[in-house]
Amino acid sequence: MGLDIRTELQNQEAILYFTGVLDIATVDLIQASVSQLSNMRGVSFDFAKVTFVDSTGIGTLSTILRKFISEGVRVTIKNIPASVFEIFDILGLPEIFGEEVFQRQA
Amino acid sequence: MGGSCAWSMVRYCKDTGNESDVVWNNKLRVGKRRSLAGMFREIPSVKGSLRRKIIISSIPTIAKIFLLTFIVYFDIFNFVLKQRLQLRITSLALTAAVLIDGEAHSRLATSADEHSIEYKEIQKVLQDFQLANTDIKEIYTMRLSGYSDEWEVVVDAKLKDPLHIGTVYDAAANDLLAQAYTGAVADDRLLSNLWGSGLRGYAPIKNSNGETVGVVGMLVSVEEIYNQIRKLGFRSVIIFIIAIGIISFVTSKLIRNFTQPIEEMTTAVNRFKAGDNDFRVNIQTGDELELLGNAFNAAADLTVDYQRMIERDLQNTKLQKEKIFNVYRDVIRAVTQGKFNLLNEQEFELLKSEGVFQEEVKITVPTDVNSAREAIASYMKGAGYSEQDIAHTVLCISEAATNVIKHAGHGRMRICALPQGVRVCVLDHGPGMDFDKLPNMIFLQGFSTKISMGCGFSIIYMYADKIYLATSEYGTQLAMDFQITIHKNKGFSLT
Repeated sequence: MGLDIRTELQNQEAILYFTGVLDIATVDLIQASVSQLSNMRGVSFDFAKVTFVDSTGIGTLSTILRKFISEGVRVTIKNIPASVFEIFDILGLPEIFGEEVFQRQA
Repeated sequence: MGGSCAWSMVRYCKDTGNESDVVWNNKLRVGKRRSLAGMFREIPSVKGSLRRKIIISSIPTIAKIFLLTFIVYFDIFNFVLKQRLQLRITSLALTAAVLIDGEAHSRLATSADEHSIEYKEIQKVLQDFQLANTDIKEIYTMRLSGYSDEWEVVVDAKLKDPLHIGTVYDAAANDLLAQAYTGAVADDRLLSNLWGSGLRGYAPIKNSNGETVGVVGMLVSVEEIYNQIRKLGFRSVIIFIIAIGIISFVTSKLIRNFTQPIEEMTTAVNRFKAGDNDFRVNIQTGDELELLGNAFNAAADLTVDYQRMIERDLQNTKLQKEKIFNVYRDVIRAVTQGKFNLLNEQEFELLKSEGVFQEEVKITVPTDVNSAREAIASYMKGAGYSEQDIAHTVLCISEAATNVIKHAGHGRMRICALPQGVRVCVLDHGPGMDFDKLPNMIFLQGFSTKISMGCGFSIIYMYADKIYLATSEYGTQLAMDFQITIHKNKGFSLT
């Protein structure tokens, strides 16, 4: 299983829909997708169909979050499955980037 | 080094520890190298090229000098011999001339006087003289005939068919004859004519007034002498050849004495290069070569000392490393209450053999990490593990497999069933981990730090029931035990 990323752009707002896994085999794709975004006011990652994230995926995500935040871009990760959120929590991402960035799946 | 051995200009001395072993001259022995490793090696031998060069360059020079000396001596010998011959011939001629009555000689005018007493007496004198000096082949008297520079024979000593008085002698080619009127002369070159080959000699015959009335001439045979000279020359050549042989032999022996220490030094260096650190030379020439030999021995001793020092240090370092490893092992085991175990290679091999082998997955490319996850998930689902346990285990395996890709490039994962759970081994042949960084990797709080240190281990530590790690410069071996939840709840332990 790999990763598929679908990007929707509207008025300087981008939503990236992730389907699959975030691991060592797919982090390059994430970087490539994000690097195409420019002059955004807000970026949202939809993790509804993410089935697995490990520390390598989280590390890449962390780098991307830092970059957007430093550029003043509003960033959120939403619809995070419980199993994935557990890993975010263990590694302390909500503490570092703010609880509001991470939205669990309803 | 050394031992009781007879004196030689150069000798090998090899201290084997219990006894001294002496090898003479160039008889190198190939045997066990007495080093700490105790390996067996062939020792390269010296081919003696320096000695050969010196011999090849010196013998021709010596031969040339010898030959030149020989030629010069031979020339001098010939010259002296010729002078002596000339002296003898002139002496003979003078003596013969003195014995001849000049007055009587003057009275011999025509062939009719050949029957006269004067002729017979003079002839007898000549014959007796010839008998007394057997190397005189011809002896006769001559005088100027009175016609220009023409000469005529007067008395010939030959018994059979003597030349008659008045026989004209063609003196055109004879420069000596004219000189003979004033004093005794002799040829300085060998003459070959009708009468044979030899040297001619002439002396003036004087009358009572001291006037020269004729000359006595003789042909002295020198063939015997020249034959002897030729034999002498031939023998000299033989002697020269034999002498050259002897000189070559002696020279090569002398040169060998000089080059042998150098050859021994070269052999010693080669043996030392080949690893024979115990080898020493004993050069007792009393010159710079001896100094060189002693310097080599001193350098070899120093090298061996340094080598032993380094080996001791390495051994100490190894022992210290083992001590540190044991301390880390004990501390980590204590702090983790037996959950995290550092093992050595032998202990890990035993661990790997436990359980029932289920499946192996090669990890060579990033996508193999997903294959590893699917393999363990599939096994655990079939074994009845809970979704949560499967999720946690899959995460651990993902971390371990990712580490293999990141740090070793490739490795493999093995799944073994245990009585109360599963053991997953992840193995690689990478550069190994610094186990002294393990405490930070496992226990350090803080995401960013964990990311930089590799937070995979803290995740593994969180979810695995037991962790075993063996790491070295030859690779890393990680085993993770996961209990099946029903056994966890019942308090079963994997150990």
